[in-house]
Amino acid sequence: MLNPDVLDAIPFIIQSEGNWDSMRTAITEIASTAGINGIIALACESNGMVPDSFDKFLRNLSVPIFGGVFPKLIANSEYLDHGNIVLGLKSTLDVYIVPSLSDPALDYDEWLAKTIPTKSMPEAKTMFVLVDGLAPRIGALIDSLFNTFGLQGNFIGGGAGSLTTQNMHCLITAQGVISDAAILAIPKLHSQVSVAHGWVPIAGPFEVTSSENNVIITLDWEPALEVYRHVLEDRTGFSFNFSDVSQAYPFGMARLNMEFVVRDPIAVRHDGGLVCVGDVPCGSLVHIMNGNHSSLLSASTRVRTMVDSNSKAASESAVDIAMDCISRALFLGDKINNEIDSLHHAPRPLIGAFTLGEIANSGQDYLEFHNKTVVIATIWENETVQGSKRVSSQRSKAHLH
Amino acid sequence: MIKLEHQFLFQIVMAVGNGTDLQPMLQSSLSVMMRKLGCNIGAVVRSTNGTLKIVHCIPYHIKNSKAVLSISQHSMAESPASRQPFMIKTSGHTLMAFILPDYGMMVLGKAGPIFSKQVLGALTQIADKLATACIACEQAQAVKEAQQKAQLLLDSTAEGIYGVDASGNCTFVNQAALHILGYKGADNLIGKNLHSLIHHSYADATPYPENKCLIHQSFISHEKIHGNDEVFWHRSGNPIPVEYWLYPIIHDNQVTGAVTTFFDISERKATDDTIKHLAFYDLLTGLPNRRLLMDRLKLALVASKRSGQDGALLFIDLDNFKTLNDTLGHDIGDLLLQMVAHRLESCVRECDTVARLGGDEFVVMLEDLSKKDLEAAAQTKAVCEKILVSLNQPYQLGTHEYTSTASIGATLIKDHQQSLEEVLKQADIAMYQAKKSGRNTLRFFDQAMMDFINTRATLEGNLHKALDNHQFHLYYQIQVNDLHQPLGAEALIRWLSPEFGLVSPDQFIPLAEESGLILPIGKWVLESVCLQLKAWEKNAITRDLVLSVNVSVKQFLQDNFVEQVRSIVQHHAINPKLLKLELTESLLLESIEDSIATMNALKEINVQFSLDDFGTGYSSLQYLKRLPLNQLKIDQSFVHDLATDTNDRAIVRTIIAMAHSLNLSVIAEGVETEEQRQFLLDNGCELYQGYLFSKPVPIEKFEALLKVKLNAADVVKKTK
Repeated sequence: MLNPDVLDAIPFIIQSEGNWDSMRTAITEIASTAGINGIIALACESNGMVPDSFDKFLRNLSVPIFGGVFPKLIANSEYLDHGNIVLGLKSTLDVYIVPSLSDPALDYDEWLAKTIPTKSMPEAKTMFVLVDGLAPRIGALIDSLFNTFGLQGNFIGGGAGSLTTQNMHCLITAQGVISDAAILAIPKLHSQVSVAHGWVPIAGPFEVTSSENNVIITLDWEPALEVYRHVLEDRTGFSFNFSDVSQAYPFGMARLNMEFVVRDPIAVRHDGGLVCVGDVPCGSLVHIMNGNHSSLLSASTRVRTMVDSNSKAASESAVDIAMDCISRALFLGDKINNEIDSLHHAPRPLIGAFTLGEIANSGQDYLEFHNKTVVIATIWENETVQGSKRVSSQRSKAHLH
Repeated sequence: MIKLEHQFLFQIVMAVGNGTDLQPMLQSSLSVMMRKLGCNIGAVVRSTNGTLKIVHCIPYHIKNSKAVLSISQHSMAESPASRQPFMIKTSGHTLMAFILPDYGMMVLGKAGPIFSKQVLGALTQIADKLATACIACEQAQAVKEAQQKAQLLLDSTAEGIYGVDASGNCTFVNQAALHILGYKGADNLIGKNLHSLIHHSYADATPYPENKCLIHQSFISHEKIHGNDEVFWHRSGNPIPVEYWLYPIIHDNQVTGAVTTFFDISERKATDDTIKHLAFYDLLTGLPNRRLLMDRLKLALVASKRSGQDGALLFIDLDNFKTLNDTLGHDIGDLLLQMVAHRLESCVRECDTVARLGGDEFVVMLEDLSKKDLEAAAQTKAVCEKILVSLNQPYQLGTHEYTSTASIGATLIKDHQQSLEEVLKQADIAMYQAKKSGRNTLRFFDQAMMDFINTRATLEGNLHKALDNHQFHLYYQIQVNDLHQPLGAEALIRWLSPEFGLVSPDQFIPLAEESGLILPIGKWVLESVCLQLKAWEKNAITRDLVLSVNVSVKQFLQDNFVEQVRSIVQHHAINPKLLKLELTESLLLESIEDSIATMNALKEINVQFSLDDFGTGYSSLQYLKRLPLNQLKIDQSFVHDLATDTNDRAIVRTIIAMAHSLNLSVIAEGVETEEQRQFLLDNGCELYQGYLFSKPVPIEKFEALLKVKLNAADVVKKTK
């Protein structure tokens, strides 16, 4: 259904039941709406295989488009296991596709310098970054994005893909639905971004003395699994079982005087290496973290408060976009509805997705790829001036401890 | 937190300043600091003479940040000696500037709370390390740039330049050297022994030992070397002629290496060769010019003096060439000259010289002719006739068919006192005589020579008809024993020419040999002798006489000679033991094995053999004993001086002794005096031939002589 309520509102369609055909219908409808210059499309993993006809449809689309396929979607105060969300943007939208996230020879600094006009960001203020959540070089791309665009604007995005961790075509582009890539979408939108997770350190720091991209091999020169096991057995008193406990005990990469960047351990490699979502560079100092329903929900409440306090300039037509980690949903179980409730600031529409890793930039800090974290952004197209102070494109952050 | 701080700072200290390339080092250092410390801005500012410039920053878009430059400016003005970081705080954001001693500033930006004093202090020290690293990188860069400039300088010259160390291994090389030597990259030469790669052999490909190399010598002498007569070797294996200069590098009186500069002088050599060619060769025809001809003529005179062999100089002038030039033009005339040059070259041997003096004047110089003037003249005439025939052939000059003739003047190079000019003048004069004689002809400078040549030509013409016209006759010279009893005779051919009268064999036999007429003449002699033997069979006085026949080389070496003799013997049904073939040593030595085989075959039909002119050749005793001979014939030259020459007497004694020891009979020819006969008899030679007994005579006189001799023999016999 199209939201007709607010004049000049950002138009969107939420389909709680749907498939690729209905997605096509929704995109067609939004694209045909007057004044629409760009489209964001989010689809549920349950839509299944992407038919060739949908790729063809995308290639013939005259309006720039980007989006992703995720395990679940967020629509206002609910989450969707099925369906689609299509959002229309009146601002111009430039979309760039990073061709490979697995080619070790691709220099992203060079690629960005050649591909994206350097003045894009000061004009736009906001960049959406969607990546194939299971691709190997997300960290390198994130570093290059910061090196290139740094403090010029806000970044929001996350990892698309399947909860089954099977590689799939998960990025919606004008070239079709693709994989092993990243989308950099730059609309002329104002935004406010907040990030929080609610995890606290319980042990550490441990130095990552050996790692391969997203696999921690040794901590303090000992096998990572053994260190992890030892800490958790000491803490729980139970015999260690990785799959039982890992959801509740992620790693946190420490930064001086700053929030931890969470790394979610999702598997044990045959050699005892701990496989995480996102890179863990050798030399990093990591803590073992823990949280509970309360701490995580508290973080989601705080992130909402922070973004609201910094987005007073947002117009009535603003929309909230949430990127919430799918592993939080798994950890919170039914209580995920509480988190979504906390995030939804009615009557402002909230749309979003449960992701495989989250991307957010403070506008003041290093750009990071997060895990087990919730990111919310308020976006709007027309600036509202409060007094003489322009407050757009600021970013707030919930410090939870 | 303190522990975390320490660990972060330790990691930063370890990571900062690693590397020698400035930009990657700064990227890595700033990135680590920013990540570990949560900074959002990192920049390094270079201060040069009061001017500030951001040399590296993260993010990249702040490379012209006024805020960064401003805080750097303030920090430097404030108190550079205090080492305290200069900070500017805005709402929620802090910029910190740290002095990089002797380099500039490091600026870090951070949101939120500022660093603790401990971290700021540590960053001051880290800035020291980063400054040291920056300076080291700049110095490394300066060295690199200096090397690049030096390399650029080296590469900007067309001269090949390379350096070697004291072991001869390449230390550097410029692009020109790589190009000349055929290598693509310096890596192919640097570190390698250059002598073994490019200087291992002389131009003729014989090995050039390193210790003999001039470059090696310079290492010992400490002196610079200039070479312009050597080759370097291209990678493809081809030699490159080079001119090079080598300068030894001397430290503390020790040669630590050397620098060589060199040019490829292939083109210069080619130019030199061209200049030489232009100096010594005629441009139009490519033939040697007058200068080179004179040079060769000089050498030919020296060679002729040394070898005793004659040479000849032919002056050749084209008849009516001027008319051709005037009517068809110089281009056509030039074409004719080129074709004439080509034809002349095809008429002579490799060792001869064809030259063009200018205009239509050509000179041919023949070398290594006979030692005998007349033979040399004959050889010269043969070549001249060949040339005249060749030049008389029609020429296709463009669309014109043209026939030309030439006049040739010849002179022999034989008088070793002659000057070059005299020889040339003689040939020139002879050529004008040829012109006067009606052109298209040959004239010798020497009239006697000319007469001889003419006579010889007439003789040769008549010789062809002599056999058919029955102008040959056999004369017989009697052979007797110690009792003066006739044992036989040597048959000797005579040519009774209606035109020349009685022609000596010395005159016509060489002509017959040259023309091949010797074969039918030889066969005629054999037939005639056998006919005579057959005739003598009926008479008791003559039926046991043996007739000797001289056999020429050509005749003896015929494939069917054995069959020919056998056929004649059988045809006339004579006793073959009465036929004696006289062979010379030189004949046998032509092909000793074939000669032995032929003699053995004839021996089977009982033909006799006498070795003629024995003692004048160089017969090996080893061969002599293998020859199926019946007789040795002592050459008349030994017999002639028996009375006066003790050496001849010794030789004759030896020959007689040798014949006896080989169980051969021995006969002496040229016996003219009783004294000679007596000496021969005293030393065991009991068979004689010579004017003491009779000169060669026609058969009628010989048969009359036989009767006289038989009577005389009876007297001698009775006396004894």
